[in-house]
Amino acid sequence: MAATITSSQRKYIKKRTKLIDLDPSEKAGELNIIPFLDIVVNLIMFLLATTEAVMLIAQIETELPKISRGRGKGGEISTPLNLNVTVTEKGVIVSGSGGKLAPGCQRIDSGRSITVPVKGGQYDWKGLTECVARVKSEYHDEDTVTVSANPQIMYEYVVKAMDAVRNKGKTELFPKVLISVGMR
Amino acid sequence: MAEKNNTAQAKLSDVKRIIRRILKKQEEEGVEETLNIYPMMDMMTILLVFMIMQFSASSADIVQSAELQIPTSTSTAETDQYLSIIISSSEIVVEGKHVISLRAGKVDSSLKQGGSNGWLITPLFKNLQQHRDRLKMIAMKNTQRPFRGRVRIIADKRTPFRTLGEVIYSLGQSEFGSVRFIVLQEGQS
Repeated sequence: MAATITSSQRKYIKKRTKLIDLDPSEKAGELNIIPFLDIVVNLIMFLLATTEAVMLIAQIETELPKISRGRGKGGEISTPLNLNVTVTEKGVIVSGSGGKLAPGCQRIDSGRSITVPVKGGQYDWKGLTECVARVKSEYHDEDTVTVSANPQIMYEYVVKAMDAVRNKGKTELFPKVLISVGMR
Repeated sequence: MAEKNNTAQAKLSDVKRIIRRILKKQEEEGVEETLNIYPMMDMMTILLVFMIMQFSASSADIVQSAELQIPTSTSTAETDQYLSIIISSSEIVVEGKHVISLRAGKVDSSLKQGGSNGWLITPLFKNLQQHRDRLKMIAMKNTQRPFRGRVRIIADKRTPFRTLGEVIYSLGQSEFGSVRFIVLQEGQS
């Protein structure tokens, strides 16, 4: 015997089985993370886009020279070479305990000459490296250089001088750099 | 008459069965194959955190401008986070805080101990002393972070060596004897 569904029963069935179009997040009863994901994607895009402008930075490690008073406790014993590199307007002076090096870096000079003079208005950093490399060949154990400059010399040239004396290609020359403020 | 007897009104149990059947059918039809975005979100978040960390650790605090042009160098030594001193053509900034103004990269003689021939920049010296005391206090409380007197100088490449010397002298007087010059790796401008 088949049962007949009355109109009121049909209405009731329709009401109970009516499809409600829920939001996907509401269906699962969870937090809608899509807007958050949008923000994150946008942020990553922004960061990636600005990466091109990021600079590759490095540092040059230097120490200040310590004042040594004799060979007492705590006082630093100055090295026999005591290599000094001074950047001037006319070029770079390379000097040590024995005196100032003459152009060519082979002999000591007592005059006003510049060890590595300016060439055509430009500093000869390669010449300075060659000069310092020559000194290094005679003093293998030395690794310290004191860099200084005249008051008007720009910081850029001091950095170049430090680069020139630290290494020659991949060969280390004087990696320990002391920066002297040049108080006279 | 017989047909009329065969068709009776459906009972409540029949109605409920029909409802269950319809709901089951709807459920089967409604199962959608959606992409699970949670792993993607995890990945994105990790990427974002990594990138932010990378930025903050490298060059976030170094912004080149017309007043601050960092020189290039052959050095490739990685930078460390020490007390930061910025010398631009117009000011000296310590740890992001303006300390003194410069005129064409030079320190006004009134700000130096001993006038124009002086080396010690008084406001800078006082500021550095505060930082030294703070760092020493941290070192006292935390033996993992001893005071080493290290600073990093981010200077404009046109800065006269005299100004740089005065800053370095003030640093030396404040027990900061280890100076790291921040440079751009060669090949960049």
